[in-house]
Amino acid sequence: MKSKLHSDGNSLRKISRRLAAATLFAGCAMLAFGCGQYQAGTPTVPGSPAAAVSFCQNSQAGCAPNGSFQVSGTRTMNVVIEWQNLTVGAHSQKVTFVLPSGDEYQAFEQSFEVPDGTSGSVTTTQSLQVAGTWIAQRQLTGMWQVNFFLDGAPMGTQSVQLTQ
Amino acid sequence: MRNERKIRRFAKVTCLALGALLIAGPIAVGRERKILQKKSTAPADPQTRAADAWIDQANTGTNHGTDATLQVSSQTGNKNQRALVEFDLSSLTNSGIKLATLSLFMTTAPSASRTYQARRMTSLWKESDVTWANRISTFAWGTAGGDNDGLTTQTATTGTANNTTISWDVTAAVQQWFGANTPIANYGTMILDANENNLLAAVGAVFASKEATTEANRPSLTVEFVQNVQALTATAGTAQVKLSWSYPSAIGTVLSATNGVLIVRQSGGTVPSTVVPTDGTVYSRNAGCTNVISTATVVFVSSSLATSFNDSAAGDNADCPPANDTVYAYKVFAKDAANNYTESGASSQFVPFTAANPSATVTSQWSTKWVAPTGVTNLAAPGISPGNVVVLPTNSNIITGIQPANGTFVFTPFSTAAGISGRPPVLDLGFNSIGFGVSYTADAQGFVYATDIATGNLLWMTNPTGSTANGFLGGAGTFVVSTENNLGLSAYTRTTDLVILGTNNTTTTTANQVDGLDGNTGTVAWSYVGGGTNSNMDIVTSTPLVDYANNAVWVTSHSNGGTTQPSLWKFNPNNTGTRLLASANLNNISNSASLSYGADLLFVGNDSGTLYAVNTSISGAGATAAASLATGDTQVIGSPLIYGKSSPYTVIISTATKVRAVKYTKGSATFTTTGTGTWTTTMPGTTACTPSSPIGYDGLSTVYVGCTDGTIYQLDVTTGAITGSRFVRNATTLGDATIDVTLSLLIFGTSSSRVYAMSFPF
Repeated sequence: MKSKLHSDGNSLRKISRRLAAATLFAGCAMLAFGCGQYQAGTPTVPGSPAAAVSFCQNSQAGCAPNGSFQVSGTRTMNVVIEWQNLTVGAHSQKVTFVLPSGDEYQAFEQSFEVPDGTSGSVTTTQSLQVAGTWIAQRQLTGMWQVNFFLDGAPMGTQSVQLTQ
Repeated sequence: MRNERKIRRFAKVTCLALGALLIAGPIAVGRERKILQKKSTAPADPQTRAADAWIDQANTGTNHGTDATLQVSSQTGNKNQRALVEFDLSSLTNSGIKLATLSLFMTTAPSASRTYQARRMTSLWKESDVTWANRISTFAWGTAGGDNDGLTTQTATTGTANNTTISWDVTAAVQQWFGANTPIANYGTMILDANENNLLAAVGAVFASKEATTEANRPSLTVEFVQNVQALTATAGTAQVKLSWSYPSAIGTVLSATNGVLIVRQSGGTVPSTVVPTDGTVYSRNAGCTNVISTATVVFVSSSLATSFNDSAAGDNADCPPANDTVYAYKVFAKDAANNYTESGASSQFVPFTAANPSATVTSQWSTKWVAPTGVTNLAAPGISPGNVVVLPTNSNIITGIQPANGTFVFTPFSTAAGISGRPPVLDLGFNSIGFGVSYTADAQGFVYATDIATGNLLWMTNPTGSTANGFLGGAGTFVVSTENNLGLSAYTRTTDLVILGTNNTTTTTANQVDGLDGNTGTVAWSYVGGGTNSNMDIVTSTPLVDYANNAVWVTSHSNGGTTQPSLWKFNPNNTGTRLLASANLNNISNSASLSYGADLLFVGNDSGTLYAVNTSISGAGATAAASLATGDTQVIGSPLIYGKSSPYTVIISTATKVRAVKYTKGSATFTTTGTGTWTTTMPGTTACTPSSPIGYDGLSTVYVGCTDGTIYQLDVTTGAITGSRFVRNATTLGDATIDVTLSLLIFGTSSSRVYAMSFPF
């Protein structure tokens, strides 16, 4: 199944769309209860790529996830993505941060490796600096959207609140 | 097989197009094709433009940037080989990309046919440095073997015949580099075996590189595109907006002639990214103007090479003329006879765009001078050589040069390793030591770039701290020899210009550093590293301030949220002597300081809303400010604006909700907040919008701030009264403005991924 996902782009895209829809619903539902962590795309197809996303104020393992950040007290906001069911080898992740207005604030791409002999799980962190940036300087607060992609395919969207 | 079909189709189209060209003549450029063939030597540009190389997993530290071949192979035991190819796209100017085909000439085929993938690369690399392990110098890839998007752009089968051309459709990647809704940096394409690590003995192909003796065999990129119209201008009147534009000359082989434009209009200041005409579709305006593309109204379609559109009832739009006192945005798509539009398959920020506000009141009529794309949010003030070039830094890893008079490219997007948030200084030719008109740019991975502002070529690049963790958020300060000489000063003893930067390493509150680089070479002249025997240094998010009169460089920093470590630093710019001349603990400071006309005083605001006056003669650690003013607002935003040739000075600042003018008399322990020339203006809005750093200059009777309500405001310097405004766009934050004093233009970025230029005063 894994090899098919990587050789059949259409299948991957279809799955990704399903995952994205599930993610959006799941993310919003979780946030309604004040939790910033959610399971992005609990696999609808066994063995398909999935991700659990949490937002933290530091990049240490086990950081407390958060769904809301006060700009004045936040140095960096870190998006911690726990990828699951990935094939061995190189992958690329893209994370885009979207302002409450719908405009894109910034996008980041990073490559990572799933080593041989592992279970296909990798945790990555993408930091977004807050202190000293336009976010803090210009009070770019409200409900932000964070989109994440794996190997070019959309994997989901999560909301995060930035407050003054 | 798919490639062969495409090649046959190209040939067919070419023949038809050449026939059309003979009939239509050279004026109509339409859909064009241009073959970018690699040169044997790269231009005077040590970066990656026009680079190629191959990397070898069996020899992870070996560089093959100058080889005459590119090798791709698969072999078990982690002995794979990959080719990296990047093309200089600067000759394509401003276009919608329709098709792009990468071709490599295979001199030696594999013993068995293989499938090779083409992938978009996602990290900056350097031809002379790149290896399997590293992308630049000793900086490793995120993943050994080259960072790429993981998405196979296209595959091609090699066959087993030598001396054949293998092609990949890389349209999607080139469209993203060159004008997708969020343009991304061009780091080139990777070619790799689709099934690496699966053969006991290496099976691979050898391709000709740009160093190959036979020029025709070198890598090529065949691009089909439709150029955008040029010099789009708008003029607002009463219930009227007039647009005009021109058509570019052909830069490639014309495949299908341009025959006009499609213009869409939308109120609210923007045409959203969902507005994308479909190639091959004929659009028209109808009565009632109900024909739309997504949310934008089709207001004009020309198939006769029109160069103007009068959007008014008496002009070209009796169906739905614009209403007064409404901001309209227009997007102008050039099109060819086959109705190919200047989009790149998706919404492109590069499609010309303008906005205007018709009004019955003449003083309320306005239009943008030009609008340019920045990829993503950009609130930094652009760099400028007045009347000559605007250098746009962007957080989408791209630097662009724009002509301030009309918004066209001086140089096309130039890729950096990471985003740029600070204003790049621009030094004109003849006023610097490097011998080029130059801009110095610093990115979030700690790389610094000296760019020729006439061409966009890279003069040098460096990472002065040797770490990508030591990124830069602020811009570079420049201590310029010619300025020192023109001022009749001599305390600066270096013979070349100095570029000064402070690091923004958020993982430490103590060990950030300030570096002085040789402006000619990028070589580190000196460094001051916080911690140890030096004072602790938190992140620097501002641009260093050069103080010629006192032969000093002033740096501001955060201070771990307190007053137990410095946040204002005074450095000696020379190569020798005590480096740190003075420091003061003023709590977190995110923005740069400003000097008085006589350089006797320095003014700076911190992130807690306090404004300070500091005597520039301070020395030693723990120096104190001469005066402070708690503004009562949560923070001081941007750098103070100082008016007056001598004390008392007028200091204009922005805070979270206000713009204020206060006075300071040298020697006083307090600021003057009442009386003539002092004022406080609360920004408009139910919840007051947050203003940008104020911009103006001594002698100008107005000062300008952009706000988070999508409006730029004009305030009277003496009273603070808002005397004019320009609403740019809904739900948009406006950035710090730059003034082109030659052309009387305000130029500012926005959260809507565009930079606007507007004439002033309003």
